[in-house]
Amino acid sequence: MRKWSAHLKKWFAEVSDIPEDVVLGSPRLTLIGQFRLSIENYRGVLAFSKTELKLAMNKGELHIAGDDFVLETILEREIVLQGRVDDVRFVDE
Amino acid sequence: MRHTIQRAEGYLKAEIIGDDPEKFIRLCVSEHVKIWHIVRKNETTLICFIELTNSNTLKRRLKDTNCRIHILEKEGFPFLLKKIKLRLGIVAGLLFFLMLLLILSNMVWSINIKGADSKLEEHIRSILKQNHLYEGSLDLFVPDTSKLENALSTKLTKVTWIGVSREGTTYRINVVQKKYPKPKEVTGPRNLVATKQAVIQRLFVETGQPVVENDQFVKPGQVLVSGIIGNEKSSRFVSAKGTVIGETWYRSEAQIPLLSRYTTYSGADYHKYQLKLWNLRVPLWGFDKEPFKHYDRETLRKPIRFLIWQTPFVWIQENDRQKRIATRKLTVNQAIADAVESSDKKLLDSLPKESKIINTAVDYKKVVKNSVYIRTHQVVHENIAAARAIDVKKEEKKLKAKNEE
Repeated sequence: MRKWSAHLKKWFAEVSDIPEDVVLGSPRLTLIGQFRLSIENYRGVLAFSKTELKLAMNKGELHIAGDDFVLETILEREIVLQGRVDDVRFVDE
Repeated sequence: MRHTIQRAEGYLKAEIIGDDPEKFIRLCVSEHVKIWHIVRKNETTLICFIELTNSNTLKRRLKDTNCRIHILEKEGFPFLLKKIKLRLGIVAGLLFFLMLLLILSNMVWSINIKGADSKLEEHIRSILKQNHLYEGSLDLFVPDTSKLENALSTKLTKVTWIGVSREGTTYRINVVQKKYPKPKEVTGPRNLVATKQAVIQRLFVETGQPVVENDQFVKPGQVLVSGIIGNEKSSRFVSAKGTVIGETWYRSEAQIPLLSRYTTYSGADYHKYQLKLWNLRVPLWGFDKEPFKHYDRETLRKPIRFLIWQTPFVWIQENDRQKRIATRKLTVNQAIADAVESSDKKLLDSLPKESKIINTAVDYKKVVKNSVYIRTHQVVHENIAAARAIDVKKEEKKLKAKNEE
């Protein structure tokens, strides 16, 4: 049933020209240069340190590695990270 | 810093210490508590900025997540207010100082009076005091300089010109006092001569030889009392003194309207005080816009100064004085009586003192366009004597020539 609704949402996104992140709630990452990364549609902060940020997503986790990390803003759906971003990786579990 | 501008409400900079401080952040986010600029300090510690909330809910959140908090800084408006409260004395003192400075800036510090002797100066100061102007008075209540000039010049008779000017907190009053020329007296030998064409009524001669009689008709310039006394052989020159009352005639015309409108002040007035800031007028006292149906409005504007600057505030004082418009209707006889009275008065003003009107006769009267026009003649008893010096040498020569004959 759930799979079916996900399919419908995907189909709707394709047909209606509305971006997938709005319809599906899939993450949207905006990286400005190497120093500012904003992530929308995340679930929660799992771990945060100077060199690493682990986020829980709808499906799986997002690991970000770098240096001098500062969590500039945390809102319910959006998070803004500042610092040098070296690596962005989706991890399925 | 960015957050100081964005946030008016208070916030904390704090260390969150615990095994899993991210849990605290997750909880804050889910409960919509704003939290920002998070930095990892070490394994167990996060430094973050957190919005100020009820301390009980904050404690509960910490307890739930097994974290401790260590507050580094307190910022924002509520803390500022607290600080101000602590320094209330200083703030009150500062405000008091500013108020004092404002009051002192709008005070009259000195009044310089130039050109008046000490007696007149004192008089001027007392008049100024009645108009709320004295050293130490507030400039806001002092009337305009032109009004002050009016008040002074109507009350001071010994002054030919008076000028009032304001320079900052100083009022300057320049006075030109009247200087009467000393009356020239003919002290030497003199005659009394007639000034006008008249019929002599009475003679009061102190010294000198009267040369006219009662009921005699005299022309202007004619000698009335001679300063040469004695007989032809031995004569003396004296200063003739005395009064000569003569009967004179005058013609005058007068016109009086039968219907006249005039306005009087009822005595009731209404004061308004306003403070004006640019175009905004804030009434402080007196909220009636039109207190009377008929009134004259006097407006006094005083810009408020602060030290050497002029503030955009203007003090406005308005005084509405109630007017009564009345009409007066006269009958023809009343109008004639009024006209006679006014023409008599006018005549007496132009004559020397102690003149008397013996008789007033109306020669002609006419009513033209709601006004009465009359022509009168008056019979007056007045002093017609005036002193004229005698040219002693000429008279002596004349007398000599007469004696030789």
